[in-house]
Amino acid sequence: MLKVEHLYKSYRNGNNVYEVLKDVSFEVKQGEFVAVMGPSGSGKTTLLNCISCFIPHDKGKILLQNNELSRLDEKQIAKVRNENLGFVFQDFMLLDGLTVFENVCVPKVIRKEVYGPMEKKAKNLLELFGIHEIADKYPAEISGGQKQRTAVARALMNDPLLILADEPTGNLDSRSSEAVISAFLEAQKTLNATTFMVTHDSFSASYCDRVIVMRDGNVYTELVNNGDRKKFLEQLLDILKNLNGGEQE
Amino acid sequence: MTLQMLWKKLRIKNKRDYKQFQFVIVFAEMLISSYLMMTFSPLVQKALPDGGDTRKIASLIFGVAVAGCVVFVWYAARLFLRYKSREIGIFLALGAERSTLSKALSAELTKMISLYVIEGIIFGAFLSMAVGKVMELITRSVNDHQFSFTVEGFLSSLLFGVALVLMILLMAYKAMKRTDIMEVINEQRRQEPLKKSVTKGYLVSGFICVVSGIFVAAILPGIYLRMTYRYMGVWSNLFYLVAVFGVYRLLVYSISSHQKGRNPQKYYNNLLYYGMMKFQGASVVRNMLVIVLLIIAGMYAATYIPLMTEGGIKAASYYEDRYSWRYLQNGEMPAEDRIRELASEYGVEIRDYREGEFIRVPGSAVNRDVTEDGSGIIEEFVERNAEYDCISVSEYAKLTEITLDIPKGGYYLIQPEEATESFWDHFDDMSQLYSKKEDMYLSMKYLGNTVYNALVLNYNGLGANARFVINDMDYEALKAGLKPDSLGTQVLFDSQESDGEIAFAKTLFRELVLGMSEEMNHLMAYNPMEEQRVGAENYVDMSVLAVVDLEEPAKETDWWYIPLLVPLISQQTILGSAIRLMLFIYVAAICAAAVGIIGYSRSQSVGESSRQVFEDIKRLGADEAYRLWILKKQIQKVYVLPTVLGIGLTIVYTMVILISNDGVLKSGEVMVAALTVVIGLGIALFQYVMYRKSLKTVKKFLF
Repeated sequence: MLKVEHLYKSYRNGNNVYEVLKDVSFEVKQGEFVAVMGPSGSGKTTLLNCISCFIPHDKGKILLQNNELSRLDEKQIAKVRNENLGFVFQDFMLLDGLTVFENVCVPKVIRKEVYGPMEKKAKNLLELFGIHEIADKYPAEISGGQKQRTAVARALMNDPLLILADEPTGNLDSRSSEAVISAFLEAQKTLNATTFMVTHDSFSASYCDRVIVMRDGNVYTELVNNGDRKKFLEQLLDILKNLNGGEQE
Repeated sequence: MTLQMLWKKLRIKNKRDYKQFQFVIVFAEMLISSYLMMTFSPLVQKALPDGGDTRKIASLIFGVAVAGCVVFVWYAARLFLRYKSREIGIFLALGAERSTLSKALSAELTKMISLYVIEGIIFGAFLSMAVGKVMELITRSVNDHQFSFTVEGFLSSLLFGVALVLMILLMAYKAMKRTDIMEVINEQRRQEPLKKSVTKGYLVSGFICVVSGIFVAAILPGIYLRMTYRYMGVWSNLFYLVAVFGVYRLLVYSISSHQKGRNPQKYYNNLLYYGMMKFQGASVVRNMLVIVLLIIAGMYAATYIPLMTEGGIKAASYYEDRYSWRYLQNGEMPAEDRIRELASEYGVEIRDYREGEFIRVPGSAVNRDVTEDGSGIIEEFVERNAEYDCISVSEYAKLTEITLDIPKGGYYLIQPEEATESFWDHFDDMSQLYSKKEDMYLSMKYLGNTVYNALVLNYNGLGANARFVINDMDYEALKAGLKPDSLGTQVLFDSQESDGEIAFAKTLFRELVLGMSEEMNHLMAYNPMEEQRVGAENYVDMSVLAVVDLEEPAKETDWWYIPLLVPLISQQTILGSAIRLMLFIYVAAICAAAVGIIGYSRSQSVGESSRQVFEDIKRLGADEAYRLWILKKQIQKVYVLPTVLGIGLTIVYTMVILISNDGVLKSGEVMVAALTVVIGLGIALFQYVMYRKSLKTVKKFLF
């Protein structure tokens, strides 16, 4: 599904060059729910932004179903973003002037789809994530958890190959976070959605099938969830404790 | 549901941003259109002399007005595009094509701004008509022309509108070209921290730069000139940039410096808001600097320039006679009978009609010029500098009732009341006059000035325009052998002010122009002796014929023998004052609008970028009163210091210039100083109102 091979990315500030990603490689399979964790500055968000094609990378390959993203022109990238990728941002990125229902419809509107199936699909997703009752409300009128579930519904609108989530629970309380993670799990279960999530939150990550841990721009280790979520959470906390020199993140 | 529909819905839901943008463009276009329509109307066109001071000031102020409008439209457009940036970024992230969005944005902007421009032109037309009618009323007694719309007025207004559309489209194009989507999405919350650590040295050096900049640019050249009689050169003007740099450093210090110092309590009290400001530091300082410069430009244009460049326009009471002109006797000028006939035709009562003879004889002078390197002055005696008007002492007494005692070989210079020597021309520069009959020079000695304003030529009566009163015997000796083209007549008379005077003066002007001889048909700066000295081939520019408009005496007159017709000067004075008043209102409105919009939009950006911090400190237990206090402090930063600096520096600068002119404040200058202070207070009040409005708006979306 998603293959990242020897990825490099650096930022330049005057004469200083900061290498943020250094030879990062990994793979995500169809239907997998994968989290990326690591301390601040380890390159998690940069990695996600490179995969999203929001920022260009310096070296290496990003393959989505064997198509190398960096070889695509702008028009093709837009098409990939719209049809193959779904996005969930930390601060929701909903359009304030549109209702929940309309926000969910946006990816299909961009695709110029006929409204009948589009509305049907949007309604289904709203029901799936328990936000159908607030369909006519505007983002300013709903809670953070509801906003993020709206964003998840929007991300799934075009049945993407991959959902890319950047700290989706970062601005939420624990109850809302659980609701959002449930939404991802629901999408995985019912729609066989593949999710790639950057997070700081070990609790949220413990629901994933696999966690890629990053440090200093590299993949430090990978942990696989064998079904026992509590044990997986403990493992995650141990690793993070080691990473932070004894201090838990 | 289509992208266009979503786009439209977003526009409807985000009315506030659009309304704000609309207001700014309509306002800018309205001000400039009304100004242009007013300027191109016959009311102004026919009343203002081409190349005259008022017209020059009008052009200068128009430049300031356009710059001001462009600045505030640019700020408003940037704020609008920042708001649109988030929407565009989200659409891009969700897979919309950049070209599609770019086209949609350009189409929306073109349609929207074109509509706003048309609205602005319509409002501008109404405004100019209202201002025009008020001006017609003010100038009713002296002006026959009426306000009317002209094609030039509409076309130039439209041109300004097109320029606005293009500028905003270019800004949108640049905004859309950015490749980093995260940057586009986060544009609204972009942080621009000030990088340097700022110490007290910044404050001190900023202050030194401001003081030394103003001193070297505005004060030192005068002192240097008085002490050394040499010019410092234009390089001293570069020190204004040092002053601007100083202001920048002061502003940076105000935003960035936050040290414990001797008052740690204050340090901790202000910890939060200082920290919040720092993240927006660079752009806040830039905005503050633009506000300071706009306040200075607006106040300077509105007070100093119009009042100090009144030029030669004097009040009617300044002149001893309401009519004064001279002519050469080879002309076919209207005689006294014809003038009286004309006067009775227009119901004008002529009083105290006098005529007196004068001669034009070549005489010497001292010419002064700046050395090639600009550091000194060269003085050169010129034997035949110019042909001067010379009047005998008895003829002068007949004309003016002033009796002078002038021995043979002595002379008095006819000067205005407030006569001062310049570095180029001194009172005693003439030392000999040429006697044609004897073919020799009579040695002459300066005895003093005699004041008669109505006889002074070209406002200052110096250089080639000097007129001398000489001993009767000297006069006869110099007159001997002169032809009629060197013999002249001076006419003076007074009148009772009446309704027909302007029409009478215009007709008189026309007859004087039609009656002039060939020798009289020259520009005001023409000097036949100079032509002889440099050769006709090198004097082409000055040897052209006089520029006179038979129908409009006030317009475009450049004539060596221009008559002094006080009713027409009064007309110009009243019109000039009315036009200056109008210009003042425009400049004040434009600069205030620019300052207000920049302050208002920056306050919103400050609020927007601090949204998360306010949320965080709320979670940390900050109550609304505390958060409001921090918000107030932040917004005050945008308003208080730039306003104080802008007004303060302009007042100081105006005082410095007024005092350094001649070391004292004359009554007219006191008026300028007082007006500067009053306008400063007006701006301060306006800024306070804008601050309250900004605070209210930001409070509404933050709390």
